[in-house]
Amino acid sequence: MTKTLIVAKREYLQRVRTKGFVIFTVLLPAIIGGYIFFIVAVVSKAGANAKAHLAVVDLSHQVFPALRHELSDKLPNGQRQFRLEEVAATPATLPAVEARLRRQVLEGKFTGFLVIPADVLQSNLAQYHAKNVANFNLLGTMEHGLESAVTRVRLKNAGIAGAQLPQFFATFHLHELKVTASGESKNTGGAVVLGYILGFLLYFVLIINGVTFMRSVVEEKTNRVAEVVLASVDAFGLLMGKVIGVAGAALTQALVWVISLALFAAYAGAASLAAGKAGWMKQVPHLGPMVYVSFVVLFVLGFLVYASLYAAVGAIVSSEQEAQQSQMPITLLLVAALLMGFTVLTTPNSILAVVLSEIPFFAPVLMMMRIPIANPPLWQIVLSWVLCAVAVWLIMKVTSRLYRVGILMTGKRPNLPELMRWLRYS
Amino acid sequence: MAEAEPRQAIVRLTGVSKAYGTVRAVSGLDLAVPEGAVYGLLGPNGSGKTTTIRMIMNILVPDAGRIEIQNRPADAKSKDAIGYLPEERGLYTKMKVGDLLHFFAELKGLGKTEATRRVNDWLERVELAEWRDKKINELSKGMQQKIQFIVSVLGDPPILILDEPSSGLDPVNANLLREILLELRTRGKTILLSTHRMEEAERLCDHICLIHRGEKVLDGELAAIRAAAGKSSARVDYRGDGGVLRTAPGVAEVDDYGNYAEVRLAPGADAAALLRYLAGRIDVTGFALQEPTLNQIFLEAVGGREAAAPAAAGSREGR
Repeated sequence: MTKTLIVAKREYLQRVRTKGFVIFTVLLPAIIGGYIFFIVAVVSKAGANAKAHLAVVDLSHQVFPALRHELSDKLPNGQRQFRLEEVAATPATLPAVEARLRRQVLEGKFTGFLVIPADVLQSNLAQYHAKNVANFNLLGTMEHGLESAVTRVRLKNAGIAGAQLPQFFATFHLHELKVTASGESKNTGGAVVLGYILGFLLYFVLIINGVTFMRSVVEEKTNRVAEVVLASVDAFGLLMGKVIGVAGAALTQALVWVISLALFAAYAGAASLAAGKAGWMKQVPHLGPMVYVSFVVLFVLGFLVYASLYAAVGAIVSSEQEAQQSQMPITLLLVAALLMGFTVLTTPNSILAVVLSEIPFFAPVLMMMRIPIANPPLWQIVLSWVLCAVAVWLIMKVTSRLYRVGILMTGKRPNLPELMRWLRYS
Repeated sequence: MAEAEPRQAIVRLTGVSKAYGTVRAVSGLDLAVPEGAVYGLLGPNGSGKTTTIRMIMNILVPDAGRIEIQNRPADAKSKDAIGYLPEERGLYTKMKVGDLLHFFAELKGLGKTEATRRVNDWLERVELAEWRDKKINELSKGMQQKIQFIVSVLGDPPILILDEPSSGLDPVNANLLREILLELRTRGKTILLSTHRMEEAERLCDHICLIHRGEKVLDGELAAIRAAAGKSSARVDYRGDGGVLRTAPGVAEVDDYGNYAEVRLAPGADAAALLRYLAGRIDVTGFALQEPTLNQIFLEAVGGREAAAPAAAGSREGR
């Protein structure tokens, strides 16, 4: 056991110290982080927070005061975002007024000008003239402001005013409650995504680490160091140590990603709160601790299951090229799990879904999906963990037998009958 | 045989066989390595030396027979008592020399400080101390060879198994290796080495086992084996045409090296008569009776078998 850990330590350090690993582990969150910073910066500086000096031509003669009230948003620095200036006009003078305003917009006196027609209460239409009509944040705010202002005027005309008004503008919320055996619980659709996140994280980390890991198994055979190591450790201990080491490296990588993503999300959350646009945050699921524990456990076990498959392929093949060709079925297995996810999502408690989510190759994805949406009983969750661990142990037992023979065989890849003979050899 | 051993056998093989498919690599091999011996496993390429060693190391599993190490059946645990230098050398080429040696030291159960001490001592000993922080792939083949040797002795095991230890070493390093081996012997270690070079075995080993095509031809104490062969051999230093040696009376076999020849005498031949015969025909500058060389003994033993059972010639690769 200690020897296995010594092998694991070496494998871990060797892997974590490579340039490729460091670059990829740091670069990916850096790119995503940079992207988020960029978006936040664009949204806050160039968009929503930009000041606007507007000229308003109110032919209805009743919307402007309400609009001024609606567009009273303050910028973070305390200044008003909108400076509104009413420009008088009648339908007869409108063309001349518009021509003057157009000139002033071009001169930079105004950001743009609004023309509110006399029949705005019926038509629900207004015009905005500006050099830049692609600032969706500004346009959105103005549109929303006009809508509210017009509604306010309509209500006032209907005789509703003063203290009664705010209740007409209250935001509406729908709370979904999921009925489960253990009572009702709050649930949001976002939880479903977790299974997919785990699946993709696993897939991603395996694509990156699996092949290099398999290559290192093959390399040990081809450069003959395996025989030296086997003089001190048995094949099972050696391979198990390697698998644990590479899983540790993958977990490190995943942790760096997950933590940095969480930090970015927190940053984006804080930024949206500041900008008053935190609606998306309602989609972030509120999940119990079991979900997070399962996420970590299933990620580790899932990685071990697949890494042991890579080790098996590495033990059989005798060159890196062969290894490349032979690893396809492994990734397909994981893709299959992701595809099965659709069925499991629609009927998470069907017998098929339960059985599939207990199969070690699929459990990491499917069980992870079922936990937040179907609240499976604890025994099902724990059983999937146990089955994964047993699968790893069994695969490694068989692999180490193949390895002992494979290590001394170089040359053509063995066919199935030969592999069976290898199993008996050792 | 076993009861006759003066010393306790620390490695013992009984009736060990191994076949690869239809090819028999080792068949019915009995072997007893006495504690504290330098034991040479001799044979030409493809005779089954490496297969035998791999079975002792529990890397291969024999088809039949028993292997005991320190009087216990060989298993994963018995590896702790053995330092092993495989025939096909390999190291983690991207690791630094020091890190690599520490890794193997830890595998042998050494603590950090003890590991550091031994790694440093051994690097000094083989004159590679200044290479500690270099990567393995920056080292020359000979240097890697020495690192590989250190790996096998780092754990200070009671048994050392070296497969062709001197292959790839220049004469200076081969000497260094021999010195270290003799030093280890005086410290009571048992050394089992395989080689196909008879003269090397002759210099180093006190016990030998000759194998040929997976079968034991001869084994025992080197001195005893040679004494049993008797002083039935002569070394003749000469100038002139060595051809006459082959036709001289009482000569069974001649290994002619040009400046001298090793002559195997026929049973009951008179050495003095041979010298007189030669003296008149070539310029004899030296003449000494001696025990036959291992090479002669081997060729003779194998020759006997070949005559008895002429098998298809051609050697297999060293498995």
